[in-house]
Amino acid sequence: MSTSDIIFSNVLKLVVSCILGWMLIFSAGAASPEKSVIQITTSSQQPSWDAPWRFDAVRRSSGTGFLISGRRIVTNAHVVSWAKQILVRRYQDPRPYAARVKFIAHDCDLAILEVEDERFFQGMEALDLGDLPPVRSPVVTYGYPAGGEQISYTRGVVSRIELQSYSHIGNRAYLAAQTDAAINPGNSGGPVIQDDKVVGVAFQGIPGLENTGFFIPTTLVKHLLKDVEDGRYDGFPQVGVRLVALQNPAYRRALKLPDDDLGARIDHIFDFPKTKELLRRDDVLLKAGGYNVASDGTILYAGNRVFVGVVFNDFQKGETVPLSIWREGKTITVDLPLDIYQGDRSEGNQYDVLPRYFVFGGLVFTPLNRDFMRTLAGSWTDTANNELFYELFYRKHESPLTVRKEPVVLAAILAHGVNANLETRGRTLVDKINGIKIEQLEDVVRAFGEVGNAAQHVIEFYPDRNLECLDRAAADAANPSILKTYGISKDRRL
Amino acid sequence: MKTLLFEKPASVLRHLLGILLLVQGWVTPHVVLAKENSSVQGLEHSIVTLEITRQTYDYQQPWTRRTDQVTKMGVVLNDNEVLTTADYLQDQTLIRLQKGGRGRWVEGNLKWIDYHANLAVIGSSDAKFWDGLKPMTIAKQTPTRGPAQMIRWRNGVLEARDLNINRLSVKRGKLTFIDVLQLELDTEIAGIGWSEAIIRGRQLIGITSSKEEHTCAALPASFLRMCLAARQEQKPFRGLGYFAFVWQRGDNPATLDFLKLRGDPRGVLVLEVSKNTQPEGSLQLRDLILSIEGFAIDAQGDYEDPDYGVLSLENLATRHRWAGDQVRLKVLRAGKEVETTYQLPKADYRAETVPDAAYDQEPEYLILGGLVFQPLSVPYLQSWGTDYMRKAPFRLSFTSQNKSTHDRPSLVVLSTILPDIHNLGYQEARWLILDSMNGQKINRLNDLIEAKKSAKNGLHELVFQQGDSLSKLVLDATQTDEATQRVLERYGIEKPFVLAPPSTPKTP
Repeated sequence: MSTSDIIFSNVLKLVVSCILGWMLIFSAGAASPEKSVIQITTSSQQPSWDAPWRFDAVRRSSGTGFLISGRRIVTNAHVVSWAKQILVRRYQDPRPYAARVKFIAHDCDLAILEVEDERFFQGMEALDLGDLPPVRSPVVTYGYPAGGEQISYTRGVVSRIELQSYSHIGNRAYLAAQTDAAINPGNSGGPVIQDDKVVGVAFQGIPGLENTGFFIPTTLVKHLLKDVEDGRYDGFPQVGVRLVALQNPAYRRALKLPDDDLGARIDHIFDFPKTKELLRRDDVLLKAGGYNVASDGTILYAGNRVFVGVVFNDFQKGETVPLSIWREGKTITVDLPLDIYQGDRSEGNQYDVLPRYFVFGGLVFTPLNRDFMRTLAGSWTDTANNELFYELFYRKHESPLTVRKEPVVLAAILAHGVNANLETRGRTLVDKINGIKIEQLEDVVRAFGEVGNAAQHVIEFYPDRNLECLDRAAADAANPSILKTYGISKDRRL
Repeated sequence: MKTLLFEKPASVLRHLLGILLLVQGWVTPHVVLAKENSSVQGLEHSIVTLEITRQTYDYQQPWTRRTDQVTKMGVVLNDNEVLTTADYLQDQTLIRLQKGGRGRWVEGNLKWIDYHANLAVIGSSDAKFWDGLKPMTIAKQTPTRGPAQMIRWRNGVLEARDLNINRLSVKRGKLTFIDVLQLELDTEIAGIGWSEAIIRGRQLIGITSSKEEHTCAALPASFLRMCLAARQEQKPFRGLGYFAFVWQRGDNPATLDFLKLRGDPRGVLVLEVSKNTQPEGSLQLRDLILSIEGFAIDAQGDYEDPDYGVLSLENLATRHRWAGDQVRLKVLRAGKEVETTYQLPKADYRAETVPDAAYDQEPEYLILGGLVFQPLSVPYLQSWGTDYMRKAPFRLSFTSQNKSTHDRPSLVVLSTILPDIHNLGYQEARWLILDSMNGQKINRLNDLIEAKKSAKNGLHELVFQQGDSLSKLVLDATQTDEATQRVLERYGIEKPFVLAPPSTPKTP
């Protein structure tokens, strides 16, 4: 039985990795599309999530982009994430031009860059965006992959088109095309061309698999371009249901549904207000956006049998998708307004937003999120981290009423006399401070700021219920010296 | 001619056997060794070899079984009995004993076993076997450091090797979830940990239970004496008790100030008390335990044992105490010292929602139209390997780790599906914890049999616990039995279910 969440919250099986390469930059040669292919060099710097006031070393990486109408450069989001400086080079032109991010869409791994210097665009023609290419049709990738300095062309065919996990964000899946054309580190953001039109943007591969590269179809690029017409990027709306195959005759009979291989069952509805209002568990999705939904949850989309989730990716925030639903032995029509879901943001990788933290008495508090989990030594699923893992990925499914807005973790303890006797060693979820339940990081600040009569700050953790206290006067007085000792310029970033 | 050809080798074989037997008698191993090592001379009559044949199970296919055989050591007791560890006696089908390190094996019988204590007593009705064997004296006091010797039969030779006692500690026992007193010994001896005798001054000071890297654990003499005495006095043996509460060290002065403790840091803070183990008003969350049985508890959770020095407070649950006994506690509660009692619950795997073990019984399972259901247990999780906490499905292993969060006595898992047309569309559903069937809550496999009688409109409705996977499936109730039979035949499975009896006796 095929079980797929439309919001794709379970990210454990992610195996793909971004292709972001390291290379030197020179270019030579000439042909028509390659004149519009741009080499991008990014100097980036990521924060350190377990010491969130600190940054890692500056990293230099290279990718590819291409020019489209409106003097916009399309590339991958992962090529320019955390960028401190972006330099772009034209085909055969040694001169670097400064570029900046105009829009960035981390969910679908796309970005639009702009260059102020008019000379950059001289003699460069914008590439047109084509449609979804048929499977088995030939494509050519253009880019500046590792292994050389010149632009590289590789030819292949479209091997298959289906929903794939997008590794840059980590917890989203969209339509992607697989090709056997070589896509290597440095190709990221480069155009995939067919009949002189861009049919995709090279973006990721699967480590260990040969002749397997993936590109983002232009349907997603077009979605982005339409999305940002109002000057703001919203993202891809979601429905908020778990749809499962409905192929067992007994279950179909239970729902009084004809045994005709049409319709997939809504197994669970997530906390999406409109969806909860309009849909029910055991509703059967017969048709979505005009596409017939098969009993395995797929539709026939441009000749490809793909999961019905791709239908909703064609819609923009606020638009309404027509659904045909089987409920209690009848077919009904539901016009479902679509919205952007932010509730699982902490489960995905986050970019370009510095981590939030608060340091008090040497105790470093930060929101629990995927980026913090990545800092933990060993495997994510190390038994020592199980409770954090459960909190981040499972609690909302199993105990939705107990979910906190932003679980806060004691990330580390900066050793000092005031905290030297704490038994807790960090990486623990914070339940209450001074009796105040911690729903989000701001509650930590508020709780320590509470003026009380008690001589201690009382910190309670969960799920183990450990209790730790700090001498209130000593902790309040120690903060400046702790910050100074550990080179922390500010005690908080909220 | 043919007869002759066969007879000749047979006669040669008989001749050779005669020579071999002569050689064996000529180099009687314990005699030779005893001359070399006078300190163990005579003890060869107090050590026997045990050969255990037992069944092992693959919980991924609970209807299959294999046979396993191990040899280990035993120490001769009074009354023609042998003491050994309980380890590897689980699911035993045959016990044989051998004295002198070689020669004839005799059949043994299990007279007493307690898995939490990790002790067993073996007897044999073969009266001749006991001729020449002498009980070993169990020391009254267990030394806590210094030299000791290990003795065992190895390749027909009584091996005596020196090792060093590192310390006496209170740690989780090999077969149990409770902490028990253990002797830790530094050693390089290969293959130790199979119930070998640890001696000093010709007296038994422990029997080995496990080895990790360069440290061997042994059950100390005081623990052996205590358990063997209780076995005789208690009819039936009441079993080990334990502290079913979780505590935190009390060495943070600010926390102790908050709890209004006066004086030096001491005591441990109660973080959790297992449900339904204590009467109202007994131990409570956030109590600071100051003393147990009159022994002051320090901030690290230790007490000063009159016999063995500093030990963990967990030892006070088994120090001359048994399941059901009342233990006296002094706690600081809301700033005031309060005297209270704690009744020691019995260490019982079945008391856990996710049991650590299920010994001496076949793995339980139930097949319903190709859907295979099993109780969620640690042995089931261990079918992913010893590193099951990382390798088993996260949701199942996490459930086993966080036992206190359960509100059910036990859990049933849809472990796999044996594909059949009846379960078409569900083949990939697995590792799901069942919540209900046909509207009835499912805690154990027996509940499924009952719930199966309550199909509605010819359909079975199975609902799984809320999670990130499938929440419900429906089967054609009119076809389920037929499908079950078809699956059994197709997959070569003998029985549609194996259920544990309501109460399986743990001791013979």
